[in-house]
Amino acid sequence: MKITDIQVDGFGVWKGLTVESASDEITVFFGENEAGKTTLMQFIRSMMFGFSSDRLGKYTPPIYGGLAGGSLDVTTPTGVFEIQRHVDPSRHSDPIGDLAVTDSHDGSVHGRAHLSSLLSDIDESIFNNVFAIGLREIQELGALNGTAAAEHLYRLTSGLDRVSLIDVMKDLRTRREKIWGSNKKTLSRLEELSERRQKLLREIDELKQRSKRWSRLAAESTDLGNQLKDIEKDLVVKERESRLVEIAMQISDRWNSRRHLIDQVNSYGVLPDERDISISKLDDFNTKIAQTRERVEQIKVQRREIKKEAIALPINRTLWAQKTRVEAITEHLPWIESLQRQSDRLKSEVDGLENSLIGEVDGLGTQLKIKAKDVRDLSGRGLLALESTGRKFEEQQERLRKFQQEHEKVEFDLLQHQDRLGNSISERGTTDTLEDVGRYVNRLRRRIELEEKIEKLNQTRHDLERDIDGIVNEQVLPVGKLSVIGIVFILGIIFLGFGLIGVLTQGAILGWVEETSQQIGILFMFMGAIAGFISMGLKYHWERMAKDELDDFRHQMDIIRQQLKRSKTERDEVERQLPSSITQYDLELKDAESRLAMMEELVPLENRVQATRSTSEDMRRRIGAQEREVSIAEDQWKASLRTAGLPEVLLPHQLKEITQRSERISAFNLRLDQLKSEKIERDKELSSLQVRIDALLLESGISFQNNNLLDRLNHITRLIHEQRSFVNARREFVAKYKALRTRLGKAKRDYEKLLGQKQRLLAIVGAETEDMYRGFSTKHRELKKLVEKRENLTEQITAALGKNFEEKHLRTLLDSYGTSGLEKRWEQVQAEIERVKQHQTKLHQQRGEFIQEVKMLGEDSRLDVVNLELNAVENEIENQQKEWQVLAASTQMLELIRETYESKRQPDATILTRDYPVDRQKWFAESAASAIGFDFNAGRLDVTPHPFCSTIGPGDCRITTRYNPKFFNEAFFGVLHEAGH
Amino acid sequence: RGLSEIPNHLTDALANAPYLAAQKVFDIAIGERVDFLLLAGDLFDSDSGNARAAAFLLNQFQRLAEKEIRVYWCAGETDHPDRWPGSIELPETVVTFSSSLVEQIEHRREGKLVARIMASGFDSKRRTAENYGAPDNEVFNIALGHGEFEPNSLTGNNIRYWALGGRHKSSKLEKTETTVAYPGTPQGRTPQESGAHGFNVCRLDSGGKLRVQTVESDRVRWLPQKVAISEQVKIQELKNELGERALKIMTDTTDQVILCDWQFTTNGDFNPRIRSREWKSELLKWLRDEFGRSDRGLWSVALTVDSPQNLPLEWYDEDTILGEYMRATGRYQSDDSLKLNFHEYMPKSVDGSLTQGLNQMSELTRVEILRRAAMVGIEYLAKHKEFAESASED
Repeated sequence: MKITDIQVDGFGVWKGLTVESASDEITVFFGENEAGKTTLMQFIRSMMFGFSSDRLGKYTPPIYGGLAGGSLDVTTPTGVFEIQRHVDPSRHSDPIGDLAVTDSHDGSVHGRAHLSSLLSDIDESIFNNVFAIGLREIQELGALNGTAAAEHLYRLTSGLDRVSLIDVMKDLRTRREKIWGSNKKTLSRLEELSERRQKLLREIDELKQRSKRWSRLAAESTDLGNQLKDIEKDLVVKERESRLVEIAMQISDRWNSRRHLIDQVNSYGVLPDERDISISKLDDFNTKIAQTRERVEQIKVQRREIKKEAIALPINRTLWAQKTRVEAITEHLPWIESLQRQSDRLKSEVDGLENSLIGEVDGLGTQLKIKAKDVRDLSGRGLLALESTGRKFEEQQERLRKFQQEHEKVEFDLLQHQDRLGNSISERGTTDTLEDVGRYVNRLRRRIELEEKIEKLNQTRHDLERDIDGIVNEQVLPVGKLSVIGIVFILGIIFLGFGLIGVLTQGAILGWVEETSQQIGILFMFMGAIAGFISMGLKYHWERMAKDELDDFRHQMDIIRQQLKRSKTERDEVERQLPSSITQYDLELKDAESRLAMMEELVPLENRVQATRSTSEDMRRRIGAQEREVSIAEDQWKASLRTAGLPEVLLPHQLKEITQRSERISAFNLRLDQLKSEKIERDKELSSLQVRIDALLLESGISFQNNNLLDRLNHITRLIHEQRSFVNARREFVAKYKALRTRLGKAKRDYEKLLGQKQRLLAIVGAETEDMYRGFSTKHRELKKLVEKRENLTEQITAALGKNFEEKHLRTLLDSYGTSGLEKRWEQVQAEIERVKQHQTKLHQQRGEFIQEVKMLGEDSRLDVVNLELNAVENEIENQQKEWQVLAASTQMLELIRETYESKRQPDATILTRDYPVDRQKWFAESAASAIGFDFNAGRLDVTPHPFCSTIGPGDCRITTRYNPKFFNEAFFGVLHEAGH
Repeated sequence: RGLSEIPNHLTDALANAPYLAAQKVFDIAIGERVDFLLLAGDLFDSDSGNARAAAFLLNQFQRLAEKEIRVYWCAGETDHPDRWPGSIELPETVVTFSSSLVEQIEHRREGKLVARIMASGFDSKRRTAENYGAPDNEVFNIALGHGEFEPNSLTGNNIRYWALGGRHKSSKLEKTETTVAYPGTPQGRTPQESGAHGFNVCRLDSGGKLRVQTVESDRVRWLPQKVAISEQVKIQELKNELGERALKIMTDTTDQVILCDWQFTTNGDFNPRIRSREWKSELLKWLRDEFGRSDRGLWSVALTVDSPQNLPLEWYDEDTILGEYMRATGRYQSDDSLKLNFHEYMPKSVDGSLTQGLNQMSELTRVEILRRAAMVGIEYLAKHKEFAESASED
């Protein structure tokens, strides 16, 4: 395959370059460096093998614009072809580009496969390594000795593996040296990294110094903080003192006044406690002492008067001496009177009893028809035994009586209830029972309900009949629906007609376009058919609906008729049970309901009559049973009387009477005897007493004429009583006198006590006299006023001092500086405060700066960043070292292969040592020298033992070489070398 | 650590992450009004000479002190109290502990004893758990320490909760009588410390039952991603898949910067293309451009395609340079006595610091280097064996 024409549309520096009709033998491109020779070579390779990523990156897009790519015209044994290839530089992933291989003979266009066959399936690697020998290789080969040339030739042959071992090794070396090399102009990657590491390490050292500074500053900042705290405390103290001095200056006058007052107060010395001094108490004592003294005098006067009155009383001492005996006898006075009364009473009782006894005996004897003499013995006849039988008989009788009373009461109630019931029934004027009336009402109600039901059913039947008529009419279809069906049907007929006419006449009549008339006609016919079907469908549907509805109504009609029949049968049945005279069932029902309501009102009354009647029956049964009990008890009673020998007619309460009277008679007799003996006893006692009283009168010297014992005794008693009143009067005087003496003593003691208390009052405060005591009080009043003034001033001072200061502080201050020195001290303190504040500001400022720097240093993340970077650099160093090792190992492997190749797989270099005739070598050398631009019109080639180039003068350059028929390259490469010069 | 390049927009986020994570610990302590805060050592590295760390801690301690929240701080390996700047006083509420013995502190709330803390700083002699015994179990006993303990010894002793430091990754062991917790660091620092990081908030309920809640605090999170791909994968398909995964990660973690190391495991016939530098750098660039340009995004740290243990055997038999290369690396991989002579390729004058460790490589490093060297050879010599991205067209 030979390239005949080159057309570069755009590639690297080339734009619109055309190389036409290249030589059949050899075409050499030459030019200055950067003229574009390599670009042209790469263009040719691109045309043949496509745009590799390297070429795309380097040569596209074209520098001077234009479409990237171009074409080559080639002649091959199979014909002449144009290889055209362009590429879009943005499509990096497409090395093929737009390829077209056009056959010049028939213009057919082929693709990649055809190009590949034109290139004999040689890919770019083989082409580059075998066929594409660059100028550099040729020059080197010519300039080198046999061994070096062999190497180059070896390099060519070792490219048979599609790779050049030398290129690979060279590339590895380049990569290795990029990582770690000894090129002094540029730093390798590892050197760069090493430098970077050193730099970072230095920076870390510097940053660590900053850390130390942070520690130092933080500590200093803390120290400053502590100093500032001390200063603040000092300042507080000083400001406090300043304030105190100010206050002291304000209140110094009051302070001095108070001090004067204190001195005055102190001058009073120690006074007794004010609480111990009480003038009112002293006055009270004085008043009481005067009152007590007056009372003593009064008592003394009273005593003298009592003594006088007591002496004046007339007392009979003889009579008074018999007082005891008289009183002893006088004490018997009630007894004597009692004795006399008893004697009289006993006499009358004895008389009464005797009369009663006679009456009783007589009365009983007559009643029992027994002899009076036996009456006294009745009690002894065991009457008591009869008592229990009698009592039982009486109890039975009593129960019978009670039952009879209750029965009478019940009977009365029954009559009452019956009367009331009879009255009520007669008032209502009916004889029916409640049940009869209830049943009657129910039947009436049912009769009315049935009538209403029949009416409703009749109404429903009429409605249904009307509906059925309506449906029957609808079955014939109403005019409206029939019209709809008709219209649709007629429309269908019209469409069908149109369609038919259209189809048959091909639209001529209807003015349709001939071509479409057939379709339109069919469409009309189709629409007509649809309308016909719709009308038929509607008719069928509506008729079907009417029929279903009619069936439904007829079924309902049957049900209604059956119900009507049943209701009428039932109504007739009910009517038969009711009287035939009823015409108005409603009115009759109301009447019956009112009667039923009345009947219901009588129900409780009837119940009560029934209950009373049953109670009456019950009572009658109980009376019968009780009568039998009474008869049994009566029989027992009579048997008991017979046993006691008493008449059977005797009733139980008479037996009690007999018992009581016989007891009373016995008691009367016994009592009569007792009374008689008692009366005799009393009479005896009375006579002895009279003797004693007479003797006493005689001894007392009192004459007395009256013989009545009681009068005499009363007289002497009166005399004694008179004497007693005198004696008692005297005793009272004596008692009063004594009482007054006691009071006198007490009054005197009170007087003494009061005097003592007054003295103690004085003694408590140490006063010898009352005046002295009063003097203390006066002093206290004065002192109090002074103290009040002092306290007032103290309050003012305290208020001025406020909560922050106490008096002791002020006192200390005033003691230290005095009132006059205060102002000077205030100025001193102010000056100190000012100085301390200045110092504080300075420290604050310094501390603020420190804190700021500490904060800045503490927040500085540079060391972290640098450490991070250092770490990355060290990792990268490690990675690069490993990569370098890998590349070195790879190189070592390749070296081994090279040695093997050199020792065992030497290339066939005999091509260089064949026989080549000298004249043919000369022709080839001259052709090559001429081809690379040696102008043989301005120079010549000759033979010498050693090749050289010499310029004799302008336009005369001479080169020499030597020919060896057994070693081709010596002359050929020598000429090219010299021609290059 | 573990990053070989720091993108500018993430520099601050990465540098500040440990502080922000720690800040969250203190914020939660204040917000939750905790009784006390337990710090189990290695809060900062005193050798780093970083004032920011000390200043930060001081500020946070003062914040807690204002709220009357006590801090119990036992030292780790790098933050012994003796190395705290002497001129700067810690607030009174911060209690530090000796490293030479176990100290006992009683914590009271309004005068009432609520917890007893047995604490000791890091001890290089490995103090045993028995030293932390509490006198009784009448109150809630806590052991506070730093370092590793024999797991079986962390029981009994009347301790209800072991608050331990010294492990960067969180771990928790709940036994019947006690809970052993290593909450880990609040912020993961290396690719090995991947996943979420945080701290524990412990609560005692009314029944005396301990509830331990882990709170996430990290602001930067390492999330290695293993992706299984086909050797013949098309780059666009892979981008779609990686894009979906990246978006899911970003949706799941809104508060963190994600540092992602993509590791591809492959299946199918060996394809040199997906191991070429161009292919990987294109993918990495795309990932970074798509997801890594915001300060709350997903930064792809690296992208590696696993090399299969065995390359296609027929390559070893080829009578080509590739075959020669494969056989040569195979010999070196199987025979340790064959030395790798790096000195021959070193520059004549070099920085001494850079040559350190180049010759003294571990066996593991040698294996890795040779495997990567094999890949370099394949990159150059097996281009023709690459599977095309798309089918050829006529």
